[in-house]
Amino acid sequence: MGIVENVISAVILMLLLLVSGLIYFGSFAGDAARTAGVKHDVFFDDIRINDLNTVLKITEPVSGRNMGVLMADAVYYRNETLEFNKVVINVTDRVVELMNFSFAGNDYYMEVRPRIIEVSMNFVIDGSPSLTQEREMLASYLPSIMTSIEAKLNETNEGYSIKVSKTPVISNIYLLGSKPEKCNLFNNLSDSRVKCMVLSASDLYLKNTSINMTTTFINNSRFNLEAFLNFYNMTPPFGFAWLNRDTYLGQSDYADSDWGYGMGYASNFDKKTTLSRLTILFPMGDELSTSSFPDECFFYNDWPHAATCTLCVDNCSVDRSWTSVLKGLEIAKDNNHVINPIYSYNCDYNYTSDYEVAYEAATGATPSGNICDESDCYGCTHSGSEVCFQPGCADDVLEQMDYIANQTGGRIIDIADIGTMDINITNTIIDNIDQYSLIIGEKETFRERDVIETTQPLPNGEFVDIRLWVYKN
Amino acid sequence: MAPGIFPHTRGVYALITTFLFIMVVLFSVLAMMYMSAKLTGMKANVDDHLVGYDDKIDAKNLLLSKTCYGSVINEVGNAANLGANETCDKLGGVIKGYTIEMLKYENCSNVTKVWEHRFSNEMGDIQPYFIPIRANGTGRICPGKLKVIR
Repeated sequence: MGIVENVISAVILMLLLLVSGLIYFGSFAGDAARTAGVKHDVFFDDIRINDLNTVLKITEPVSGRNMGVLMADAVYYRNETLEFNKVVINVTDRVVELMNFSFAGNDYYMEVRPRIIEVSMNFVIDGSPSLTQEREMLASYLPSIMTSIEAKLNETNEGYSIKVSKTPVISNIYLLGSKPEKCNLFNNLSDSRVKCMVLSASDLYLKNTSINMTTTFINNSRFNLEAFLNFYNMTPPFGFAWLNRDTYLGQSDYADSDWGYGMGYASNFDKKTTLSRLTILFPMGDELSTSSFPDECFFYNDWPHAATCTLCVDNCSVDRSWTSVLKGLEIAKDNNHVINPIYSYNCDYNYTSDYEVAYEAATGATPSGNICDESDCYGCTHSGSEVCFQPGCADDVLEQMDYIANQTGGRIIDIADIGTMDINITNTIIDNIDQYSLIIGEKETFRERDVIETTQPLPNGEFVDIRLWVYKN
Repeated sequence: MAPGIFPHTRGVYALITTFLFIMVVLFSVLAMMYMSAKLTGMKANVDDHLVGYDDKIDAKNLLLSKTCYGSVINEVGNAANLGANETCDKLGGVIKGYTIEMLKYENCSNVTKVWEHRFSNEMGDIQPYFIPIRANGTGRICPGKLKVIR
């Protein structure tokens, strides 16, 4: 037995030595492999960072600016096409060209995405009775719209270490007119995120002729109405002299529909311009800004009654409304706000017998039925008891809304089908949030990749993150 | 086989077990020495490769530093033969040379221009970096490639 014991003990000893040796060298080899892996990653990170920084330095041939500045401008102004000396360049195409130069052979994904942590929705709503239904629907949908937007913000910011606002989504409702009770719809929501105020003519227009144009408009946190009105020369549509005249229609007849100036007021009232805050203006109207009433109906004319004049004369007040709309656009652009106009023209004016009385008083003729059927009335059509007011202006309203949307990276929301208003508004805001970024390539989270992050200064002095993934082949 | 019956055989057993023990120890030592040598060799190769990474990064950083050309390399000057045509001879490690290429790009160059600086005839492994080159005259920053040859 002694031999067997000795042999077995020797074998056990040998095994012990070999196992311990293997463990030692195994850890030795593991360390070496880990070190090699880290060095390898550092090396390729260095190449990717270097290459990306070079791309940002290259001079774009048309504009003469470097690619980093162009990318920051494209994100800041929410437009991938920029114009220089009447030549339009597509920033994305230019970046792709250089990235393909640099990362030839590797797929990549790049995003220049400012982190949006707050969305401010500002509805400027025509105060005329024809929009009553739209206001009611908006009030009922608003909480669910805000909840959807909060969910979208949480989704897009997932995985980022950012300071989250307590109220990431707020809604300001500006009702054009002078009746505070119209705000009850929104105040009754008892939602601290929703605030409503009425905007009357005194909020929108300069009040006298002694305009001090040299007033410097200072970006105080406290809203200075007079300085604002002076700075942007917010004169009323017919000037100050008109205000002292005895006229057909009053100031409220254009002010209650002046969604152009109202948009400017709302933009200036919420003018915090940080890139992490997306401020959206929603002018809502079913007629031209400052109303679709023809200019001549504001003065005495052959129609001795305003109602018949506005229904029978079809001269669209396009120039007057453009003045208002362009003013609002100027202010919104100054504050880098997005405009999503809500087009709500849907022929739902209520026809009243007062119109017939007024028509008879004006012409001496009794209308056979609906005055819109009369041969000398061109400013309205009707379907049953519902009147289409100034149908000839509908295309002009659309054109103006389309213009201001394009100028600010927004889009028109047509609520011909009022039942889908919430979906239309929510989807538009989600598009606004996504549109705020420049994205190249496909984001494939399952692929192994080198990840590079850098920052680029924006026109307002803030910085935007640039994230690059270079996939490993 | 009970002890005491064949007492003369005890010395043989002791001899065998001692021999086996010595063989086991010897085998173990030799095995460990072999593995050690193998792993040390492998590690040396890995280290050499890793140092190669460092060399390339260092060389690139040097070429893009003020010591050599600056963060932007100037296009080769036609008259005074300045800029990228100058050799930066301060590269260290085992770098065998480098080339600078100005790539074809709108308002930059219609042809690829190459400036080569070699410290050896041997060809090493090349790692290209995308680099900015300031074009003569216009001052535009054009795309280029730096190839560090190790």
